[in-house]
Amino acid sequence: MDSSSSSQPDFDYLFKLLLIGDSAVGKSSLLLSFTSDTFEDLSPTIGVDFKVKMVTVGGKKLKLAIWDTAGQERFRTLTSSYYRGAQGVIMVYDVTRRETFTNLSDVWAKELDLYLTNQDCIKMLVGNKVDKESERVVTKKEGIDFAREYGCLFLECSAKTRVNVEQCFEELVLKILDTPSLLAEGSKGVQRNIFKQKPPESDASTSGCC
Amino acid sequence: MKAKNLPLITFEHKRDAYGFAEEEEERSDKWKDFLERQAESAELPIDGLSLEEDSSVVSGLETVISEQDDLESKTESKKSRNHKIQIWAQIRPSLAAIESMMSLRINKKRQNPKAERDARNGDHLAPIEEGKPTRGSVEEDSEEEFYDVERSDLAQDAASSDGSPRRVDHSSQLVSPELFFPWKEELECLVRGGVPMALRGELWQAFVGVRARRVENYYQDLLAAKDHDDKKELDDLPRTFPGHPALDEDGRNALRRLLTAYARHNPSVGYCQAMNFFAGLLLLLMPEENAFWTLMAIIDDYFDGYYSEEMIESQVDQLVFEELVRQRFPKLVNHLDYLGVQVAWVTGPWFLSIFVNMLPWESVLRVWDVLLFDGNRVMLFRSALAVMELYGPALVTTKDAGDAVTLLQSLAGSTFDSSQLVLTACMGYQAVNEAKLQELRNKHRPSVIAAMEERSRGARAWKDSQGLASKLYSFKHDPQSILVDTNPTEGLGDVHANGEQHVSRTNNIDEFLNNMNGDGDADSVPDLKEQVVWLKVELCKLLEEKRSSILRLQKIDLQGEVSDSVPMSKRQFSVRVVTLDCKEIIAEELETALMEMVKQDNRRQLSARVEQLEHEVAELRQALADKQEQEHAMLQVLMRVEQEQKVTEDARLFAEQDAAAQKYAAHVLQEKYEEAMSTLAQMEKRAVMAETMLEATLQYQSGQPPQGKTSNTEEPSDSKPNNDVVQAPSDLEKEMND
Repeated sequence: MDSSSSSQPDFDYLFKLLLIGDSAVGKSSLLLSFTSDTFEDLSPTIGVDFKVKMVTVGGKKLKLAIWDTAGQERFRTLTSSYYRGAQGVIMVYDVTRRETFTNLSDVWAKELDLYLTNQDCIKMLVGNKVDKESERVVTKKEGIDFAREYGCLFLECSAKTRVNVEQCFEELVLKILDTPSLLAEGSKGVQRNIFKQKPPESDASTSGCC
Repeated sequence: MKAKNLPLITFEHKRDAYGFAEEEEERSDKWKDFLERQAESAELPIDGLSLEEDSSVVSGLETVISEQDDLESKTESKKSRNHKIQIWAQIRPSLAAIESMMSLRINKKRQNPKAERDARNGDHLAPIEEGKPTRGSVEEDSEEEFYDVERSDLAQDAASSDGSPRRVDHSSQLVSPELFFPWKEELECLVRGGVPMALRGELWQAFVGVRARRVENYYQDLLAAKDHDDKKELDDLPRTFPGHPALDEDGRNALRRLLTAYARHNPSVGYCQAMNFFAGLLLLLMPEENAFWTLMAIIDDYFDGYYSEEMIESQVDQLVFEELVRQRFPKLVNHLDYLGVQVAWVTGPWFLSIFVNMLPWESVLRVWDVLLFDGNRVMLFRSALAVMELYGPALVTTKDAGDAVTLLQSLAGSTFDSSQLVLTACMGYQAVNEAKLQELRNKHRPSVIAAMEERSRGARAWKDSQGLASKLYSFKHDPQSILVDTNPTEGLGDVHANGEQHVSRTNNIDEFLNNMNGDGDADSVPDLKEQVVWLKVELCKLLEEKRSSILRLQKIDLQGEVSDSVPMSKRQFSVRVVTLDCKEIIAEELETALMEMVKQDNRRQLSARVEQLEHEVAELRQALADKQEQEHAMLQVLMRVEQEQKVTEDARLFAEQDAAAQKYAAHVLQEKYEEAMSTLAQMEKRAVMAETMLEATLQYQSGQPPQGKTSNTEEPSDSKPNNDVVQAPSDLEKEMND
């Protein structure tokens, strides 16, 4: 934490990612699994939670600011304000509970349409809890079809066994890196952040040329 | 964030680890002393029985203190025992005085929504709003009787000032307890200093007035009711304080019952995540039914409108808090604005969870102590401001939004000095009081409701009914819109009167109202009073249902599917009026909210822009300075070059002069040479002349021999100079050759 804040300009892009989906599908677990390699029983998220992770993808050093939103329906009025400025969204469902899957198209996709500010924002569909294979009710094919229809990426994973967890974030970020408008947003943030270090740099360059 | 995983069982260890054990002991002593004095003063009006109880409790307290180490496990075992034996328990009598004082405000508060509803229905049930106790009696029942006598007078008071019933309420609430309970201030100090763990459960119940709230069998009836959809909270049962040993099978069952009962008690709120934390916490401190009434008090009174479907009050509070932070910490807010961080991102979850899982447990409990004692949400604001004060300086050093948010989260999670937190909150922010908060809430509420409307409009087709619902909500909370209020209620009244065949419940409601009138006239018997309370609760429920059925009716009307004759059209008309009214108001509110939002947005953008421009200016200045420096350097170089040029010029001049001098020297030499040559030529001529002269002389000598003898003597003397002359040119020639 402290090390990451002291080594501030140590990244090329800053991206804002968002986790959405029904209550108890494993959004927080997925995030915890990704950021600290652990899995444990978690309390329900109230309102919103937030984590930061530094990663290196495609030779670029990235700082990911990940917003983990509450799933319960009534919190949506609060969480919609967090959509602004996101470059990537992970829509999570539980492969053992069908309603969490159908709600993505019935509810969450509409939320995205209404509140996302960048229309190029990359969406990713993630089916969680594949470790409970015997209880599965949503097939992989259904996930693929959904992803095709909504034009998003798709993966199945397990926060518990960590299968595909890193891939979820990696694929999403790779796609963001491929999208110029999102890249511009990400680097704009960077510029703004290292603004304060800029004057001394230019100083050095001018004195060097002389 | 780690706090999330700390099970409650670690209270004890933590307290020891931080040296809190002594503090806790001191706390217990203070409370014991206070309660003993209470018991003594209460001795006079009450008979010997309660004194005995009191002393036994005090000694009980002593044993609790002596067994500090297994305090927690004791609470737990008490709890689990209570599951099996009883789910309801009276709190110890020594706390009765506190309880009765606290109960005063419930009676007042509780009547308010009902009074409003009653007023709307044209039924004048006497509200128990303005209780002014004239003696500090400890006996609760007699006090209530005393109220009832005065009720009729007070009803008129209330009726005449019904424009702002809530405000009147607050002022009287502030004054009366201090006048008649001189020890209230001392109690307040004690509460701020912390409630001992052994007394916490019971004191909390006393603070919220569980006994006054309780309706016999209400909880059991709620649980006995059938065909309800209770799926939602099931997901969260295992997710409430995961891993806590007290939340075993029995614990989880109790938790489920509690949440189910609450959801049935107040269907408009139902179950909201975060309630499971509150319920779990309360279950660790008190028996099940006591926990229910405490939970009900917290959600229905303290946090009215917070956890409902729309969560309007929660959003309003965030706007209010943001304004307070802007006032108090301009520098911090500037920085956060620059980073693009909204304070509400972090504090929203704090408020919603009343700090559970957000602060360390010790701090959470201390904040709850004060909050439950205060009877409102002021402590929430004060604590959050205190946290901001504690960590603001650290936040200002962050360089991006991500770091700022995570830092604030982790710092809040490590606020282990609960005393510092509570004292900073209570002492540092006394100006943040309920009256001020209400003022700010009224200011910000319209924008939240407008945003709500916008949202429902964008997302749903049934926007009209939704709009009406939140409209009604705002009537309840905004006394100023009372004028607007009358229109819709009249409209609803019409619907009510004309639509009897459709609204089957009408007759029932009337019956209830009649019953309540009767009870209100002759309620000197406590049983009857309880019935009234129960009936009122029923009435509330019925009104809720009536409202929804009206809404349904309205929808049907609008679709034109029901065709009725004259009364129908009248109803349609009134419904339309309602809808139109609402639409108009909504439109206005939306507009103002939008304006405000745009303004805010502009302000934010502007400040960000200004910041950026400032940086640009700084950069430009730097660049300018650099350029100037460069120029200076160039100038110096130029001067040096010039100097060098001058030097070379000089050198050239010197060289030219040299050249001239050499030329001149050459010239002089040439002249000398020519001179020498001419002298040489002269010498030669003279030599030639001398030779000819010599020849001539020789020829002369040879031409006159007689004269020879005499001339002989003369001749050597003559020839000598001639030899000299001949010799001279040869010398000269020699010289020339050299």
